[in-house]
Amino acid sequence: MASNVTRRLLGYGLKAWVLAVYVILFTPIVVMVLFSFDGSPIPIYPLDNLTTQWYSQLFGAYYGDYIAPLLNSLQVALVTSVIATILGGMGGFAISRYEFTGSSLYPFVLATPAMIPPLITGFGMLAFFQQTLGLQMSKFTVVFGHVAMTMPFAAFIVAGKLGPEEELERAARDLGANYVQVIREVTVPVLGPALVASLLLTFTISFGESAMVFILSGSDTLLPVALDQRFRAGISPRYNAISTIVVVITFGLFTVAEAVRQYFGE
Amino acid sequence: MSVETEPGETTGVAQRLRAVPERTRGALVALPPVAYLAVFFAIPLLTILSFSVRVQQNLQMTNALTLDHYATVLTSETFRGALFYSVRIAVITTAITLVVGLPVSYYLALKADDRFRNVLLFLVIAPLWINFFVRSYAMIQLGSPQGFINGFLTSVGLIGEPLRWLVYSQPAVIFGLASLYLPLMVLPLYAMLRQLDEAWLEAAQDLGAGPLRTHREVTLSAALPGMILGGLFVFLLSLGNQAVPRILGGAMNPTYSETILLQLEGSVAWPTAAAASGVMMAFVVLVLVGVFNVFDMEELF
Amino acid sequence: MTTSSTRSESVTEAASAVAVAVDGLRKEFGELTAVDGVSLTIRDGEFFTLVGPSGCGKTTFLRMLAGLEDATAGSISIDGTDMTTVPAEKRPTSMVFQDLALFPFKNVFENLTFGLKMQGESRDVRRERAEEMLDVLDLQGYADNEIEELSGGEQQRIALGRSLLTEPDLLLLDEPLSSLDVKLRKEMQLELRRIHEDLESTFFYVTHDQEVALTASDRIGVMNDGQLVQVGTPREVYEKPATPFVAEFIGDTNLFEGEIDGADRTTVETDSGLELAAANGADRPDSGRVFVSVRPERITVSESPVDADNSFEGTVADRIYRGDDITYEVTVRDVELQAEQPVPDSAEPLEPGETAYVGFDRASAYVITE
Repeated sequence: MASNVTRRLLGYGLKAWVLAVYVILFTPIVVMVLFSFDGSPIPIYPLDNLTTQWYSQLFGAYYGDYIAPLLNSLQVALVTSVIATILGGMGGFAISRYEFTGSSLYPFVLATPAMIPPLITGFGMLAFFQQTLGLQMSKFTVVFGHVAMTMPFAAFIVAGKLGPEEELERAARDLGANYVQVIREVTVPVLGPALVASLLLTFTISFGESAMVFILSGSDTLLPVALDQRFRAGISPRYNAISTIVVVITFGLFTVAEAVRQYFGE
Repeated sequence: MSVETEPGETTGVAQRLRAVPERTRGALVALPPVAYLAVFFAIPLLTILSFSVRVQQNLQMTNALTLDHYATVLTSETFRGALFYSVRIAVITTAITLVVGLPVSYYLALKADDRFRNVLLFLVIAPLWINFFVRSYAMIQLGSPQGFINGFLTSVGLIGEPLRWLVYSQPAVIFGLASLYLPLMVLPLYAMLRQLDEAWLEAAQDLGAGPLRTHREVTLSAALPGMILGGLFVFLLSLGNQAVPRILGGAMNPTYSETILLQLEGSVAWPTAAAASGVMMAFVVLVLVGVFNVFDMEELF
Repeated sequence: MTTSSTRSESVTEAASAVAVAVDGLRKEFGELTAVDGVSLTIRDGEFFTLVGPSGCGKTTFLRMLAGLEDATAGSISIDGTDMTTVPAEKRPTSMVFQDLALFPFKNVFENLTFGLKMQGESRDVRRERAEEMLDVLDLQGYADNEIEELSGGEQQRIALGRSLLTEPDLLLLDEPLSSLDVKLRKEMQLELRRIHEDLESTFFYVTHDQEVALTASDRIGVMNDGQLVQVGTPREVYEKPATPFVAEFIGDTNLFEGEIDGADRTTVETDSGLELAAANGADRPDSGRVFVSVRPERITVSESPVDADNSFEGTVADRIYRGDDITYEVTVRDVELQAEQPVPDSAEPLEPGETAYVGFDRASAYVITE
């Protein structure tokens, strides 16, 4: 029957499609990781002369060019994630738990920074900081920008988890738990993963953001700027090495996230 | 103060906290984030808007108001061209993520084994996590004339000359944006499709719909809210992204964001850049208002 | 216990055309055999119910009729045409799902006319047919409502309407009433029966609730463990169960196991020590092990000895008042019998602990040979 044939084709086609998508998504990264061990100074096909010299160079002579900016970026991301999670967490609480003047508009207000291109927000902050406040740009100013940008995500992650949690709290209280017990047994296990997820997401967004970094980092060099500068000088094998390090960090973070989630028994 | 209490009672501090009426407590908790955004988001945006209507003299903002900057931006070939280019790229990217992402979300939501599914979900989200720059450079290495793809294709004899359009071109930018933002389309779609009841598909079949028709009638309808949300994300983010076009696009046709950035880097002609930013903001607001008015977003929340 | 209407007798007697013929249908899921060689014919215009406990394979069987499952072996033909490999969308069947499977993203009109849309009917025709159906379902004016605005019973009817609008040769119903409350269920049972008679179509109904089967069907099939155990009219299945399983599954019964007394073939010596006069039962062998089934409503309970072929003395163990009748559990020589009696007008019902006499005719004791 024709439609049986169609059905079968669709089935195989679907799997093939999904496979193709994943392959296309990951090939650049896989190739890049492989080529970080390529011996030739210019990463050209084929892959030969396996070596780790690029990595040693990164930590040696080229430290200032790559590792230092990487560390700056990590610092910024870390500080951003903490502040954004705290502020965003409060926002999340406010969204899911409380009613107050303007609480129907509140979620939209919190969501706006995520909608406006970071470039524009960054520009605005540059104007504000430099012209109005006379500040110097540095990695701290980047933090201000990133926190604004990532706060919405933190807020909605926390709000999402807290909503259903309220019922659990009531149930626990109904069963006789006192205030402290409720917090310990109900709130923390739910809030924990939410906070961790928020920390990770905001960290990642901050770490990967480039427009604000370009505008707001001033004298400090963060990774996107460093890579951009180096790239304009020509393709370098050390890219692949630093990029591979970034990939490892990212995957490492996710593994941590999974471990934490398992721990809290999601 | 003792912490162990009878069920239902609260401790001293907690008691005092609870004494504060809920509305006030709510406002107190809600305040810090909003305060932060007021200072570090609203004011900067207002600053730009203010700059965009002022006359600049000798690198200083004066108090004289003018709409000249907006006129410049709106009539300038550079900006208009860049805007159209950006919008076009954003639209194509959104369309591609939709077409590519729908089957993937469908597979993840309905067809994958449970254990497999978590891994696959992670792999889809992972690209979001890896620094934009890193991935773009990876793509360049892969696709440049001396790169991996060309090298491979040449060595097996499929092509005589390296392909030049793999990088530093519009297709490259679209590909970069699409692969970057695909997860943003897949996740909302996945969430909506998880709610798809296979019985609906069977009912449609039973009533006479063949395999393709069934998906058209049922799957697409069920996924629609996800498509809209995902599409919105991808469109707006593609529009505002400057990293990918900067690396993969080459110098040829700058996108709107790139143009603004160039203005900032190259000169101190901030008012023009400010006006351009104002136009972009207006555009974003228009899109948001338009989408929320046309589509009923209730199913999402 | 009500028996089905006289209509069932005439359907059985008349030489009706066969609507569905199933031969040796088999479905295996890996190691598990869900449907184990079932053969069955369903007559044109019949209301056929397949009953069985959960997991017996009846739903799988139904889905195979619909085309939603492939058969591992065997064949299905509808109206004379072999449908075994025909996909669901091309079969002249229509199914009402257990959870209704109404499309939440479409409104009532769109749901109702979905099948018609697939058939290519124009919007005007669809509007007309939808209005007609809403009339039949007593839901006039609901065409533009959203599904979620309707109550459970209303959604039921829409689901039924949706399937009926395609005018299928065979309507399949998968326990559609199980999610309704008791009162609503009774109403819907009658509705179904009425619609079936109005439309003169063929209904195939699957359920584990044998009350529905008995009240609405022309014929019943009893299924257990993948196999079709008995097929017949509700009366046949109730009064002449083919196996102990059927006797116990359909209605309540008192089931005894024992040996046929060699000398007098109408006596059965039960394992529990009772001697029963059992006259009923087809193909009784001369000797060997048999089962005897006695329906509770055939047993009389009284304060004084009962004049019947089988009469025993016992003690009332429990008494359950059920509004329309009383069920006694009477212990007779370590055996607990269930007896059902209408509530007596004058006499006081017997109390637990009292001595009671039970009795039933030989005709009420049905012998089952397995």
